[in-house]
Amino acid sequence: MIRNVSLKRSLIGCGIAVGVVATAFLLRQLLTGFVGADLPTYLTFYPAVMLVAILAGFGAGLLATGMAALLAAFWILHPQGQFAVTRLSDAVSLAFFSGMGVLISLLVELYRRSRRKSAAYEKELALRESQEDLNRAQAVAHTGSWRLDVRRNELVWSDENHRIFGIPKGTSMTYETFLATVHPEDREYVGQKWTAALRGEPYDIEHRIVTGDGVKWVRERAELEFDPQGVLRGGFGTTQDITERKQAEQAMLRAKQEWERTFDAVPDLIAILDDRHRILRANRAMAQRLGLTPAQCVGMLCHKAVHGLDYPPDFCPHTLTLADGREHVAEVHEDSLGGDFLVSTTPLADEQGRHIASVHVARDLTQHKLREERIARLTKLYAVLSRVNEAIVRVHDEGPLYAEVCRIVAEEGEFPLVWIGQVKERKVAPAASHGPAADYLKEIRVEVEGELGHGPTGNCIREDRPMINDDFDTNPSTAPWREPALRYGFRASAAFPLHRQGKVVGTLTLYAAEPDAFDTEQVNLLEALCADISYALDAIQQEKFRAEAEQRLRDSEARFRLLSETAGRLLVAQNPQAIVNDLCRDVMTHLDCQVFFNFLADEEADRLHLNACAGIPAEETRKIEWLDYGVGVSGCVARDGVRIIAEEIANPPDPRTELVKSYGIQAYACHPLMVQGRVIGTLSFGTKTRPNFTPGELALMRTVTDQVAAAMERMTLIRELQRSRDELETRVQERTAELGRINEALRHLSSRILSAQEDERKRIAGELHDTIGACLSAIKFKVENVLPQIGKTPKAATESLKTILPVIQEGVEDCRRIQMDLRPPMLDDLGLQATLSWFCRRFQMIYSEIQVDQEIKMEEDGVPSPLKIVAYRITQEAMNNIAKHSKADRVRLSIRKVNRRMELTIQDNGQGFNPKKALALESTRGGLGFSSMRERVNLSGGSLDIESAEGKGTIIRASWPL
Amino acid sequence: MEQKRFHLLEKRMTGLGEIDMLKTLIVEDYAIFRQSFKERLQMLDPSMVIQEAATANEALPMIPSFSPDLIFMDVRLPDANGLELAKKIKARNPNIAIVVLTDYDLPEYREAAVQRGAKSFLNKDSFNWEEIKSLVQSISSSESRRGNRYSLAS
Repeated sequence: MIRNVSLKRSLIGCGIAVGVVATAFLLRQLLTGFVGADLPTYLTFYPAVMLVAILAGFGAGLLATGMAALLAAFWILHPQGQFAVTRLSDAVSLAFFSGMGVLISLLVELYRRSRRKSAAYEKELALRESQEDLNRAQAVAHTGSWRLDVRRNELVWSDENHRIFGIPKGTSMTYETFLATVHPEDREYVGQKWTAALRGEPYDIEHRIVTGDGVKWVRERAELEFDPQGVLRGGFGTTQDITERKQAEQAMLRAKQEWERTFDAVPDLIAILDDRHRILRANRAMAQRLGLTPAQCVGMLCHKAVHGLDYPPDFCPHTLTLADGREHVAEVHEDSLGGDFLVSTTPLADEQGRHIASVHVARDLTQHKLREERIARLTKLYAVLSRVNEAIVRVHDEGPLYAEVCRIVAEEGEFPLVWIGQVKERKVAPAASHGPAADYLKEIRVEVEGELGHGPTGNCIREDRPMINDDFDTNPSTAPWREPALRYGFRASAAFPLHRQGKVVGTLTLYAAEPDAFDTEQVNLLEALCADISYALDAIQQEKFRAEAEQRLRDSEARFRLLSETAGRLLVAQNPQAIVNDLCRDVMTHLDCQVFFNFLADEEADRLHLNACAGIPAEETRKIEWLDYGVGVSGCVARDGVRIIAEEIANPPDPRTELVKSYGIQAYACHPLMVQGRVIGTLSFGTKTRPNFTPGELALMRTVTDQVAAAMERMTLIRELQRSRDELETRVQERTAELGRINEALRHLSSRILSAQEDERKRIAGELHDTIGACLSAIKFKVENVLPQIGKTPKAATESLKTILPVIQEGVEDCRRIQMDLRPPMLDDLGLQATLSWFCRRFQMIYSEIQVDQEIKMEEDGVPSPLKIVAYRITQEAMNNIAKHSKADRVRLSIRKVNRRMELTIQDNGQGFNPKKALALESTRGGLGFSSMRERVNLSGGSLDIESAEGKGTIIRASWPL
Repeated sequence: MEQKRFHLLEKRMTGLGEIDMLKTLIVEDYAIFRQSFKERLQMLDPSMVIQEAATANEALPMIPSFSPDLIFMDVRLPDANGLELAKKIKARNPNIAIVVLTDYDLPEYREAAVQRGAKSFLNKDSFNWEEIKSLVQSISSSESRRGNRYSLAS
């Protein structure tokens, strides 16, 4: 495009050059007739060259020069139209001509250039000025601008724009640079709007930016250009700094809101009324009182909205203000708004001073009036409080204090009835009352619980807090008392707890003729009053306690002295029973008693015996010398081990106290004397002078009783110790004697064993001598006889030797028999069963009159080897005994396995014996050898049991664990 | 099986010529009695092969090698009960005839001996040699013994 332009311009230049030169040549040809042909050529062409150079520049000038030179050479120098530069002068002239043309073109070009330059400068200057003007204008208007050229990718900001955004000039600007300055909270909004603008929507927004100078408000407008395809080409936009405007707007808004808040905050009812009584504006208090919102009030007629009238009331101060344009005040009572109001109307004028509206302020006087009344009542109550406090200081007894308090509260507080109730079990009993309606209390009952316990007084006691009954007519909890209360003219009541030692002991109950008569402050004052009364009650009680404590201290000192004396006397007494009399008389005197009884348990008689007593005639003493358990007070105490205190004996008939009652005793206490949880007696005291004992007196009696019991216990223990020592002594002696007997028995046994051994040896020796010894002697004698015969008469010798053989055989048999008797080898060779069988067979052979039955139900292998000889010996001994002593004709021998035990039984049907006597006899001398049998069995780990009775046979049973 | 092996071994040692010789073992701890008993037995049957043992421990190892036909067994041995030993031997070698010797001629002994598989029962004090002679003869001519031998030999 750019090249096209310069080409176009060159062509135009060429055209101009050709045209002008041609024109000049033609003009010369035309003018030749007038001026002759000698007209110098430079006069013809130089002006043309100059003109061309001026019009079309240096290039065209050169072209024109060239053309002129050619024309001059062809046509002018040689009109024949041929190039004939033959002469040097011609050539020089031509060269000079051309040179001059070039020079002229050059000069003209230079001139043109200088002209062109100065024109551009002028233009630029003008532009700059206008730019500066724009900048100034923008600065004044606080409006910057920007231009976006998408093709050039260029975003240009005006100076003011830079200033507004606080971005230094020269910073390369992009949309992101701009967006970074946007207040973070507004960024999204700006982004949305810009996106919309890119879709063709108008872009005119207000938002905040953050610059070095702080937050600013700007208004942005832009007009964007799009190509026909809808692609953004660029745009122009303005940025207006509207910070000041915005601030002003906000300040105004704040001021307005502040004013509205103030307007709404005023507790008075304010309305702005126009001249036709229409509400232009109402504050919140007003609207609320009307039950509307401020907006709803607007446009309503004041008299309609407030008073419910179609026309303004007579007293309307606004009417007056409208008439005279002054301020007016009126006191108005309006039931529908709930009370009295002080209404003022103040005129409002427009700029021209015309009265167009009034400020109508209504101040609620209801609270004010109520407050005045309340203050009056409180003042009265303060007076009551101070009078009550005076009474508290003056009166030191509960009853009079109550009466005085009721009087003061009723009279000074102007209550129709005031009473103080005391809690007595379930009831609330009036302790004092005052007021014109005091008779009311005679008609009603109040309790702590149940139907009559849920009124103010009952609730107050149970819940320990003040109870206010605002209206008897409507309060359902007061239903039981409603009728009489209303009849006596009560509408409200209040009950306040009275405390002693922090516990509720009663109430102060007040009645009032008006409903809702008790407000918070009154209640607070009455609470304070009751706190003072409670304090007084505590003080009275403490005073009482102090006096009592002193008395108690004196009593307990005396009691302590008495007790320590008693204890000392009991401790040194060898026989406490004996000194009980003296001691109890002292205690009796101390306790202001006239009678005492001391019974002691007599174990053998299983009754109680009177040990000591005082205060009754001697013949009575004899009557009660013995007392059965469970009879009379002492009998019951002794039986149950629990003390009995009989007080006010005169009143309830009790069979136990008939006796003591007959002595004129009014109070009687009987304590058990307890030793190691056992009752050893009783100690009782009785008084004829009063119906009760104090806890201290009872404690003293108890202590004395315990002391006496302890002293008796000590004696009992000493006696028991003595007895157990004696018992021990006896047992030691018995044991020693027993040991002696055992020793004796042992000695006897061992001597018996020794003698048995000796007897056995003697028997064996005798038997050896009689049998084997005799046999061997006989053999020796016979052999000696045979020897000399052997040589002489061999035949006779042989015969003689033969006679020796039976003798030897006899010796061998004797030997075998002795061996069998000592210990049968069969026991080892064949075992117990075979041996017993052999033994029985032999026994049967010897004692044919005794029938022997064997019952052996045990495997031979089941019998432990060491037991075999024991069982055999027991059998042998038992059978020998039977043969010798029993006179039995039947013996049964059995060996069985019973319950993992081996049991050997030898039973006979003989005459039997007494096993005890037999054993006793045996331990001394003789006997049947049972002890050695038992010894054997025990040593082998078994046990022996002998069952026998005279005439009943004998069973000997030995058994061993397997 | 064991017995068969013993017989094969014995056959090798003694040869077939000795088949009919009766082999006897005397188990008795009392040496004088044992010696005289042996002499008398030899007199009774000169072809009899007789061996002696004083205790059970001596006797037991001899039985497999010697393989006696007849054993005279004392009831009382220093290391064992002869009856129990007899029972044990009889359980392993039912073909061996055992004669129990005892001091007591009591039925209990007799019964015990028979119970334990003894062939006969002799009282040491009072036995009669005729008894023993017939006993030995009955054993040596026993069909079972002979049959047994031949069957083993063939």
